[in-house]
Amino acid sequence: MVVGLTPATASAAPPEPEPGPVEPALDPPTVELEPRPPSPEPERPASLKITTSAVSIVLRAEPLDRAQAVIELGVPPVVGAPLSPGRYRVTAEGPGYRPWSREVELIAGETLNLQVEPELIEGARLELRATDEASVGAAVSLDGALLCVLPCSEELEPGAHQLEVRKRRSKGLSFGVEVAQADEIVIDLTLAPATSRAPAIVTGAIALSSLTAAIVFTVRSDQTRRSLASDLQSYGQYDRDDRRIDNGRRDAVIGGVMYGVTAAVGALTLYYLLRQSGPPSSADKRRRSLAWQLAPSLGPTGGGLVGVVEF
Amino acid sequence: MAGLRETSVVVMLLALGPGCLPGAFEALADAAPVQTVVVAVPGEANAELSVALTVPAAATQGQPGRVLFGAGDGAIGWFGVDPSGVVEQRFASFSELTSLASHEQPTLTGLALSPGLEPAEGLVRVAATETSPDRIVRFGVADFTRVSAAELDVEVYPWVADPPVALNGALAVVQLDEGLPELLSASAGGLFIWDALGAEVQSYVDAREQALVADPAAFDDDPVEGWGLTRCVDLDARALAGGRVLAGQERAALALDGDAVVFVAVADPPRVSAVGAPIYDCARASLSLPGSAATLTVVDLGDDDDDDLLVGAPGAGAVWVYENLGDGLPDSPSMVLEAGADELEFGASLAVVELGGDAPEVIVVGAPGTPVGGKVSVGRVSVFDASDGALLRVIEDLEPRTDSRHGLAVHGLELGGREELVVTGARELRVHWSILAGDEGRE
Repeated sequence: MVVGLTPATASAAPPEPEPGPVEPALDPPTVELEPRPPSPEPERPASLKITTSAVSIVLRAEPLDRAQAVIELGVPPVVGAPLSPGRYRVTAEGPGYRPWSREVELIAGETLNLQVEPELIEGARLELRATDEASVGAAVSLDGALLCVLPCSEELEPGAHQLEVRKRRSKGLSFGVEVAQADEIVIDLTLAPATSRAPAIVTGAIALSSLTAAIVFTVRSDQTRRSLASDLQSYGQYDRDDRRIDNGRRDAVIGGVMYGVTAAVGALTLYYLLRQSGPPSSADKRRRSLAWQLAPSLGPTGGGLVGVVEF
Repeated sequence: MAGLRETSVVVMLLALGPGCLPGAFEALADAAPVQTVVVAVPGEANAELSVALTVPAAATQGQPGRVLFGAGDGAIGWFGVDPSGVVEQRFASFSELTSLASHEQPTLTGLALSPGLEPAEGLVRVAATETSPDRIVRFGVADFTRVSAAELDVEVYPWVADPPVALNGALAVVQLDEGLPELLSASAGGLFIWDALGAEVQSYVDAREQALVADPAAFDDDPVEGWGLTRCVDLDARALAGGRVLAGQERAALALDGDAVVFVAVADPPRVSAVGAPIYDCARASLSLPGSAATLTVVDLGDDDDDDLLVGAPGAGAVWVYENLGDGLPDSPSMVLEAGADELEFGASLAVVELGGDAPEVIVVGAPGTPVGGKVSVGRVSVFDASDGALLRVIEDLEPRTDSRHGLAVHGLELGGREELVVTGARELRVHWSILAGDEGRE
């Protein structure tokens, strides 16, 4: 649905504020032509004047009654473009807009005022670009689902989304993006090389080994302790010089030290796992919103700013 | 369920491993049932214990019992431990030994304890030198000081045996009559008995001199009348003991001679020599043994006030128990304790230990020559129920070593109202705080 202070119409009359509640856009829009002046003797060129609230659209005029190349009218506003009289198809295209076209007839010596208002597209356009060769091929996930592989361009539903960019041996990137209808978002992605995890693997292996040793020595120590406790319980004879006491105590101490080493090396492993050296991956976002615009407007009865809200 | 248990074990190990286990071993070491004291003789690194005697607590003026020992042939010392396990060890110093022997670096050939004396007294036998015969010296156990002057040292005078005989056999102190106990020493020339620990020797000598002044031939007919001691010429005593073992609780010294025990006691009727010395009966009675023996121990089994006799017979691998039922010792053993299959020198040491608590009274028998694990003379100790002779347990040496001779001597050491088993080896003493159910450990 398109609702606006200025309906999506092409009119010879200047746009006027629409009183009362917002109404649905009229479809199809009408084109009213000014009264034809008395026909001159020699054929004079016609003139085309185009106004619009849309931005970044390109206007073209395609002659319909003769073989002639499409005439590039450029970006609006078009003020008095001289054209040969005849029938034309005027088209408007631009990012965030649905293609728009109308057939008009230009009469020699007359100026046709044309109001062009193409409809905004439903979603938003997302263009993801890789700034360097290393970033090409990264997988982009949208809200957890694979979206595309860099570079790519996709249309998104309006709303909040979470983008994740992943590539092997590159630092991942995750960020949120809020898109509105007809947004055009360009994101330049630069993936930095991932930090090496080799130190973490080495320290992790050491931590695992020391943990294993700690458990082995602790188990041995505990077995020795149980043996002594059993002797004590059953009146077995041993003294404090019994080798089991020294051996068990030694094993317990070694086990304890191994636990300490495990804790220290484990912490180092975590550090190496979580450490990020060098610059992080980055995303440079640029947004252009077409849903809310203020544009200057001129008409026969006056001029001013025209606001357009589209839902 | 098993997984949960394993997980719990791992968690426990992880939790206990770092900090608790070393402490647990400290606690187990503190609670060790055995306390070992290595005997390191000052100045004699290789000296080994040769004799160890039990000093009763009553003789140490309130102190716990002790073990008096001789190491090698030149050192004596004692070991004591209090009920909490604090050990005290003392050796006679060089100057103390010199003072006892009256010359430097004496050779010691025997050690004995005087029963019933407070403070405890011991006797040490000093080997003869070029200027003096073998002598026996009284000393205080606590500090190794002389009890009597050098003039009162016991020796065999020339008029008793010329040349003097060597005092080189068993040595013991036995109460045979009233007053101080009697000193007995074996020799190649028979058994010598000095009454009252030799304290009266000087008076006998004086009496002899006076008698000789009056009549130079006073003792020609019977030299024994002038000796002031009793000499049992035919008695070859390999071991000595004593107690109230005769009928009517009469006292006697027991001498192990061949396959018999000979009872030496006050003569019946009593005899006194011309110099006033009592003359003891060298063969008041005798007891034939089942075989050859080596050790004698007189104890009161069962606290019935009748002294009983234990005879250790290493050759036979047995201990014969003669239980006195009030009318003297029986003719044959009332109980026989037998050695294990591979035990050697079983019966070389004997002791009766009242462990206290709920534990029974036990007879402890040492077998110091027992090989263990292929090592010779490691030693072993067997513990029997004193009431029925049942073998309760065998105690191996904690760390078998060749020639450690565990069980060289065994003792029931009085500590805090009960007795603890102490086993002596060649180089160490072990206090066994708890050996049976009911035998409480140290305080």
